[in-house]
Amino acid sequence: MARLVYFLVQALKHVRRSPIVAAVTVATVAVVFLLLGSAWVVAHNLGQLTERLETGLRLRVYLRDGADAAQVAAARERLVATGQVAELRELGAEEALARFRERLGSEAALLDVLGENPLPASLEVTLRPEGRSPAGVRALADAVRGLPAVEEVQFGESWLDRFFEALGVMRLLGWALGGLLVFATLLIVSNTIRLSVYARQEEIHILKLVGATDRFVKAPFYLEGALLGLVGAGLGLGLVAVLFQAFAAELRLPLGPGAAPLALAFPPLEAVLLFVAGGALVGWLGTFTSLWRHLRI
Amino acid sequence: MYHVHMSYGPDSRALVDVTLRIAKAEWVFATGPSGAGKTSLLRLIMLAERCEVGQLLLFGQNVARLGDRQIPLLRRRIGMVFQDFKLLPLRTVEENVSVGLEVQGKPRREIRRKTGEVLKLVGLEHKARAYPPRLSGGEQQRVAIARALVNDPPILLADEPTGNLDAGLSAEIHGLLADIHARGTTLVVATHDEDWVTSTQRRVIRLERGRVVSGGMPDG
Repeated sequence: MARLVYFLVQALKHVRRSPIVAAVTVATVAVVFLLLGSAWVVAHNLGQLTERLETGLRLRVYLRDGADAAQVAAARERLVATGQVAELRELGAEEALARFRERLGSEAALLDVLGENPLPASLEVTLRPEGRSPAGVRALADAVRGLPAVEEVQFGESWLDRFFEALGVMRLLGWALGGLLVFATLLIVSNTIRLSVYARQEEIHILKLVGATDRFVKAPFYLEGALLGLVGAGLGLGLVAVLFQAFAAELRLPLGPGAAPLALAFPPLEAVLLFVAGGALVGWLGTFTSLWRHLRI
Repeated sequence: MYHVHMSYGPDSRALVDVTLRIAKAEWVFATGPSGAGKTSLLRLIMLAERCEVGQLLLFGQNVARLGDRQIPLLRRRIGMVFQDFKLLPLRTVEENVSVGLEVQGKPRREIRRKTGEVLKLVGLEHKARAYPPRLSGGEQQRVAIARALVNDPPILLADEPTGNLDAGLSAEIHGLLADIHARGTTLVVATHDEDWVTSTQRRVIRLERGRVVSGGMPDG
């Protein structure tokens, strides 16, 4: 413990003796973590959105007019047999019309012009959570398509597919960009520590001559790197939080008629702390790459 | 030290087939023209350089092939004093001296006690809180000697300890080194100062172009 305090004091002395270099490093780490943090908040909310959309994934099986009870029962059995169905509801033609009328609201009178009910009866299928993906829905659709009772199967497939595809691409881009940014931070911290090592070459030399182990010499540098990374990440993410509070906290994302809008959320505190700790880790790693080759005396 | 060869690169041979012996508690001088290998010899003894060929026995242990991790432990048993003092300008005299104990993780109280003792020995206890650049050359060298002694090393190496000092201050350091030797410390001093060497009447190891030309053995 006394040792840790000693190393910490040395690390702080390092920072105090070259405050400008330290400030530039902290600022750079902060900017990188501002970008990373923003991307992270966006990703967090996209994740929430995905979850909501997946929960809402439903399959609608329209029944042929005049399909008899046995045929409908066969379709139902086929659906249940897949083991992916959480809820199965039969919607009669009249019920469908009533629901439609309700949605149209004041324009419901339009329906009266039609005279007869144009809507078919249908089966409304809610999936089990593990099957809630475009592929899961499609598999279910394939299971009943072509049965005598089935007229058509709908699940909004084209837009959902595109949405999930776009999400996948965004995720990939996010990871790539994040990786690049983290790499850049590593280089920056690594350079700072290298400057710090150069500035203290004589001191390191003397320490080693009086019998300091490598570890003793390196520890303050590691602490310095981790400290700069931690402070930089804290500042960057703090700024993200402030910006989020100012501009995004009140925003609601409309999810179409009938669905509650999605409130944008900041990631939970534990995750934020982990993220900031990631800054310390980046600082530590940057120091590692710097000391790795520059401390052989 | 038996048949030791050392070089700083293919074209720069520092020590050539050096064989010598220094007894416990002995005081020897290493002399010779510049570039003869005096400094290399001292650096080799404290393992700041490694020999390519040959054997080096220290404290009864062959350290020629000592692992890197063992080197710091060995250095704590050897004090070293340099011509240019090698003090840390941003640390006080006290901090400069105590650094040798700090690297070993000694308790704070022991560090304070021991540092006070050696500063008293070199007559600088009243300058404990001063910074080295504000001291005279002689005082700085005494700080360096205090730092070298703070671990009670059985061996003290001094590389031109008075090279940067005028005659008066040199005499001061000579006296201090004599005192240290009198306490039983093995002393190896590299110097150009022929007057000092002559007046002290100790064994002289003469080096020329990396070779020992005389004085390698206690009786030779």
